[in-house]
Amino acid sequence: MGEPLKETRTRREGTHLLVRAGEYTCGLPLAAVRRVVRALTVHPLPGAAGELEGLAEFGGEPLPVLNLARLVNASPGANPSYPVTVVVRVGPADGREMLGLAADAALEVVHVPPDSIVAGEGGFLQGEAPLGGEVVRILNLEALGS
Amino acid sequence: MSEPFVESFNHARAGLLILGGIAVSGLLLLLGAQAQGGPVWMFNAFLLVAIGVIALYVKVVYRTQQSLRVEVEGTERRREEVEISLVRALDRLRAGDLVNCSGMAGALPGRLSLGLTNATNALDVLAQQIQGSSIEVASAAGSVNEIASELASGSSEQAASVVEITAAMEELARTASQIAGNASSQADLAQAAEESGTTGQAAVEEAVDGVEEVKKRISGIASRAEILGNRSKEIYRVLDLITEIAQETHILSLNAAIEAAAAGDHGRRFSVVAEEVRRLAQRSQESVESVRNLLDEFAGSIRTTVVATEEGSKEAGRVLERARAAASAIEDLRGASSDTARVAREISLATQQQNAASDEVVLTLKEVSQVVQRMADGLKHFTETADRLNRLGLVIQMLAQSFHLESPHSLKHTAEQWAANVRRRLGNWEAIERLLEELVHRQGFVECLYFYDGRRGQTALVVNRQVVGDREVPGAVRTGEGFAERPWYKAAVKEGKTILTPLFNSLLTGQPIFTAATPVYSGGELEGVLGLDVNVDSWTKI
Amino acid sequence: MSVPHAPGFLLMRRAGGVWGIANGAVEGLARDGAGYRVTAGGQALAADEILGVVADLRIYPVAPALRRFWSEEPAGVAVHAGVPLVVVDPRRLPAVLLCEIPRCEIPRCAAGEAGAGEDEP
Repeated sequence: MGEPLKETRTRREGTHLLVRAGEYTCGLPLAAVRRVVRALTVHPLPGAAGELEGLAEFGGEPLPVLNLARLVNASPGANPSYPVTVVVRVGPADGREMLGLAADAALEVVHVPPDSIVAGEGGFLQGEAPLGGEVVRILNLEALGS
Repeated sequence: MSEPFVESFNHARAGLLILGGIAVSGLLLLLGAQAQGGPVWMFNAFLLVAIGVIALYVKVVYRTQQSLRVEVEGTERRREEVEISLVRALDRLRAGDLVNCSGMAGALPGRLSLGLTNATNALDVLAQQIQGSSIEVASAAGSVNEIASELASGSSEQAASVVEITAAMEELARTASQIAGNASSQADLAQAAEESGTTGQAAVEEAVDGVEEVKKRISGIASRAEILGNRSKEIYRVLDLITEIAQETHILSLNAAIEAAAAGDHGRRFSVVAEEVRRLAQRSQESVESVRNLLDEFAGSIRTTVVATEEGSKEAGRVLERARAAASAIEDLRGASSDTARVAREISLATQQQNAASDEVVLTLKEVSQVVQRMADGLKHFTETADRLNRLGLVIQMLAQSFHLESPHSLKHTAEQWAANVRRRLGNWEAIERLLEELVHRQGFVECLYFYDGRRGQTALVVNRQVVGDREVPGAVRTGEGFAERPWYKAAVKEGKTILTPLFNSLLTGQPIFTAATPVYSGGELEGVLGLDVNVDSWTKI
Repeated sequence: MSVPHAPGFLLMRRAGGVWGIANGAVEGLARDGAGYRVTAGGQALAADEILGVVADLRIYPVAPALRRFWSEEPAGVAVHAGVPLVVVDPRRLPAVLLCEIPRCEIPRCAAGEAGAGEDEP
């Protein structure tokens, strides 16, 4: 799909993990990604917003899990065959927190040249980039921690 | 004058003549003696004595005889009168007019009158009994006649029925013969069907064996297909496992890439390996998908095979079931054919026996027919006899009615009374008509009542609608045309009393009637004749 | 039912979630129909099920991302026996736990509609 990963540091900056959220393919900055696991069991929190699926347990700690499809305003995928939870670290360096992003599938690790990203509306959606004949939504995970 | 009396009178006269002769002889002797000289006184004495004896004789015997003669002549006249009265009374009696006969008996001397009256009364009672009995006899004879007619009719119907039954039995016998023939044919056919059924059953049993073998083979195919299906499921499970491993490997490769990226330059090689692992996992997944697709097709084929074998098995089962049903049906048919053959033979035998029995019945029925025919003939004779008896009863009744009795059963008496009523209304024609109207409804046996005024040629006529019904009265009858020339009119006028005519058929009803006709006198002059047409059938039913 | 005075936390289930409250804050516990009534901080809490008491919990602070999408202000979050739970602050009890809220108005999760894969503590 994407360009094979290169080992240069500069290239590492543009490395993203592609995941599927509904009809969208989203690129998560690989630096923020801590782990990809099979979809964790989530316990809902009554009264929470739709984006927050609930709490899960990851590594013996509570992990808030957000619904990526709801975050990017995608239609929920119909019975994904292999859903995953992407564990990411967000927030400032002095107070990074662990978050889970529930996605329909984890695709691959690709390099998205920064200059190919067309800036978006800002905030959580950094922009969009063409990749392998497809438009990938590049996400700004730091925005989740602020 | 009576003979003894005449003889006595003649003896008395003879005695007188003898006395006279003796006196004359004595006188002559005395005259002779005187002539010869005898005493005169002797002569005179003798003459005196002779005259005296003669006178005494005349005085005593002859006068007595003379008065007796006068008395005898009076008695003779009275006797003749009594004889005439008696003859007249007996003449009435002869005519059957016991009413007037009884009246005439009063003119006869005491014991004769009493005796005649008693005799007339006894005869009257007897005649009334005869009249009553004759009515009953006539009625009974009529009933016997009707019964005889019904019996004769029934007997004829019975004879006809026996003939019909005989014909039916003959037809039945013929039909039985046909049934016997048909049953025999049916028995042969049923036997042939039984043999065909045996052959067919063997063929069907072979077919059943063949179908069972096919079913077994289909079942074998189904078993193998099921085994294949189960194997396919196992392959699916293996594929799922491989997919699971591939997915895990995929995630593992991604995490390796993440770790490699985190390791910076140190993880460069590892990231390559991770990428290769990811590709391997992806290829594995793709291969699994290919295998899964192939397996889907394979499984689809197996399912199709299973479905086909199931359908084939079901169809074979159905064929087998039908074949078994056919075998069972053939067996039943064979049994039924066997039963049919047996029953048909029994029917044939029974119908042959029935045929023989029918022949016997026909013979018996013919005998019965002859008996019934003889009985019908006898009944016919009986009917004729009853008819004669009926007529005789009628004749007896007619004869009994020749008596004029003071009885309500006496037609003459009734006619006389009605004639007396008419006589009292002479001069009032409407009253006579009303009287006739009233009287005709009083006696149901009177078909027609009429009074013909012979002097004026006028007729009052009333018909009894209960007897005549709505039949039209002929104009000649209504006007009394030619009534004066009718036998009943002439006979009544001639006899001067009620007469009965012989039987004749009514112009109105066509039924047998007779007429009672009574002359009506006024002041000794004939005014007309009252006629009653009596319907015999109604009369005998009183 | 006696009030747990031992140190630790009272765990209970409510609206499909698992909740923990410090034993010291619990003032009373009583049956309430098919459920329970827990008095804490002068307020009555409703519980569908009392899961038990644990002596100790490692309480993690509530991450900003969590606060961003959840308006409640719990004392923290923890994991017990592999099940994540919310430790409530008796002073700021979540609305979903209060008895005054009828069950039919409980947001998001209906009563008994537990999360998938939920485990007993």
